[in-house]
Amino acid sequence: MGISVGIDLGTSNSVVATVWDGQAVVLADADGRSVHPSVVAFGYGHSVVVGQPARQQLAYAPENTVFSAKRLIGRRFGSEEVDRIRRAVSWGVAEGPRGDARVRVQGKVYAVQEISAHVLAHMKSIAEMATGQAVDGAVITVPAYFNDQQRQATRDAAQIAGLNCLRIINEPTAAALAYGYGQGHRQHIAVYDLGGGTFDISILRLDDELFEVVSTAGDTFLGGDDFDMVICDHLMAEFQAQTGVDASQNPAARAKLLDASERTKRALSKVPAVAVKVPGLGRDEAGNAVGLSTTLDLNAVQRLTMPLIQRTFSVVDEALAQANLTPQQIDGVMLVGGMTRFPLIRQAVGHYFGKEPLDHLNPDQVVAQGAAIQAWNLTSFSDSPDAVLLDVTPQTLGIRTVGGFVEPVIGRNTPIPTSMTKVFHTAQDNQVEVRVQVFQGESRMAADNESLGEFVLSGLRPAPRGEVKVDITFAIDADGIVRVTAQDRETGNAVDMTLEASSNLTSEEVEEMRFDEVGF
Amino acid sequence: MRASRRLKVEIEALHEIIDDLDYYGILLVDPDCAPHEIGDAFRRESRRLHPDRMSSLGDAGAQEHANDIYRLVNEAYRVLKDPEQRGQYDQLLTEGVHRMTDDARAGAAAEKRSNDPAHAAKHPKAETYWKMALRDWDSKSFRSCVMNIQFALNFEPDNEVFREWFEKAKVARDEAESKREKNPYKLRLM
Repeated sequence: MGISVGIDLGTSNSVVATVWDGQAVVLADADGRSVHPSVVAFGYGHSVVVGQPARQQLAYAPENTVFSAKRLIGRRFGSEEVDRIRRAVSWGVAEGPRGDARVRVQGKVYAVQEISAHVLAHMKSIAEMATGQAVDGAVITVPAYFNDQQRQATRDAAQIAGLNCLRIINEPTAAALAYGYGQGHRQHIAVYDLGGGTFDISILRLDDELFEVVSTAGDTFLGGDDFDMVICDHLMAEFQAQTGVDASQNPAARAKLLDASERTKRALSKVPAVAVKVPGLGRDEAGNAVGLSTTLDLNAVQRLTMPLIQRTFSVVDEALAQANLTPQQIDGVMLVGGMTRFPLIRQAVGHYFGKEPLDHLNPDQVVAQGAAIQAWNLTSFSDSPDAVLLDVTPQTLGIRTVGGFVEPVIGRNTPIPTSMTKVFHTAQDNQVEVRVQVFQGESRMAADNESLGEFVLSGLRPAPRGEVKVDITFAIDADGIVRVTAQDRETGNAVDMTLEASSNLTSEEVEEMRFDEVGF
Repeated sequence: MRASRRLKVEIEALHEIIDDLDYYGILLVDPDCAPHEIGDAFRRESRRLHPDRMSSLGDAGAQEHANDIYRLVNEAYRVLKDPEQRGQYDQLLTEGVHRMTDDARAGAAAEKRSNDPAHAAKHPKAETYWKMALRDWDSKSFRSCVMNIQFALNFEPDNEVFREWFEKAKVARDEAESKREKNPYKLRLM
């Protein structure tokens, strides 16, 4: 018997924890580090380095060093989001066989799932080294606002890594679990989760061992990375003003400034002003190497980042409205994600809710701890369970109808697992095929939502129009992953169904990508 | 281990009968209970029946049954916690319908719809013209509206709704036209 772990697979950093002697503990590597950069560096040949050593490579081989890959997971090449990431990262983005965005390094193209798999395998090995036991299963966390494709891709990453994924749970829910586990709270809490690449807000009702998510909202394109980029753009402009040199098209200079921005932001969490010195950003007209030397204080950074902070609160408004609560009715506010260490965020959150955020928990570690508790719950039976998680689906699931509209099938914030059956009639005489396009998102127009793919029901009985009726059941399982089944109403037979136009990996691809088993 | 067996037996027994239960039966509440009792019952049943409790037992069949049951617990809660949906559901119950499925909902909606002119057409070609006519009516293009109803009537000469609207549209058209005549500043585009 091995252990089960919880893994917080973050955009910037990842953490692994397990329940040990009834306590959720974060597992450290041999150097005593418990937070590991989600960075994968490719060296010569096929060598791959993950974590802190990979992060170090970022400074001298940025084009071979993949960071923030989670921002690409489950996304389509050519989408607005992917274009934004392409401009921001030093590594290459390529198009996969089904229109999915992939990573291009050293002329080779990797699925984003493979990159995440390297990080997951690294976490697994850290846990095995730390405990001396094999990892049998893992609960992996994802942003609450992740859609079906992104969740499925995360599951596939686990499979590629040879990791048995017990469950995908939402980061804020995991955090709440770590906070309330065994405490007997009866209250409403808000979890404000600003990570490296995503923002989530979840409103939970805690009733002793019951953790009920009332509503959740988020922005999968708002995180610490965006703060870094805003600061980086500012430094880039400052550098050009000082030296007249435009380094914005130079990936190495950009990587250096991005790194400096990130360190500046961290330093400003502790001191009010920081001197920023970045040498070797370019050469001036005379051929001399020039760098940047300036100072940044909290006020300046506040001006730069205020629009981003305000964006989070419009998402919070939305979640509270869905929960039918006011900020004053929230008993406690939890801060999760490294970005919430930033004093401006703490201040703004305190101001919004009219109370100081809870701060006895480590915002970098709570998510992994909560995941570890859930992993424990799922692998050990207890007559009176210590924690029961009731989560919801973050986005409306719908199907395309005539005119490009979406008809909702399962609304956002519906408790999961759930299912809904819809009846389809044939629209033409002797129609033997029905095509159903599935979407996720809040827009009334199909084109503005995320397409999950297209189901084709075939082999219907030829008959006059309207006579053949097919029950299509849309189910969302406990991982938040969508499953669709179809049944001919008259015969009760399952209808053949194939999923097309999905950007997900096929099971054959996953199997092919699977890492060779490394015995422990 | 005894407790886990008891849970398994409970799940299997419930799975046998759950299709015969209505939402009140699933949540074990009285059909005329107060709204807050619905939430309390949902939380009580969630503690008892949540499928995660089964997952450590490694019994795939029982797990699937627990999932089926809990989906219904969620469904019951989703419908009963919303006063409007609960009202609709209570109505369905009197007709012997236990579940608020898409179909049942559609049935309720169809009744409403029979009075709605948007669904008056039966022939697909008539429907095309009829829809255009209704759009014309909304945009006050009465001349075009009359024309389209005329076309629709070619396919369904006996449609009562079409006839009624045909007369209505003609009156509206004549009225609009007489007004327009009085306005010398507007160009007539015919």
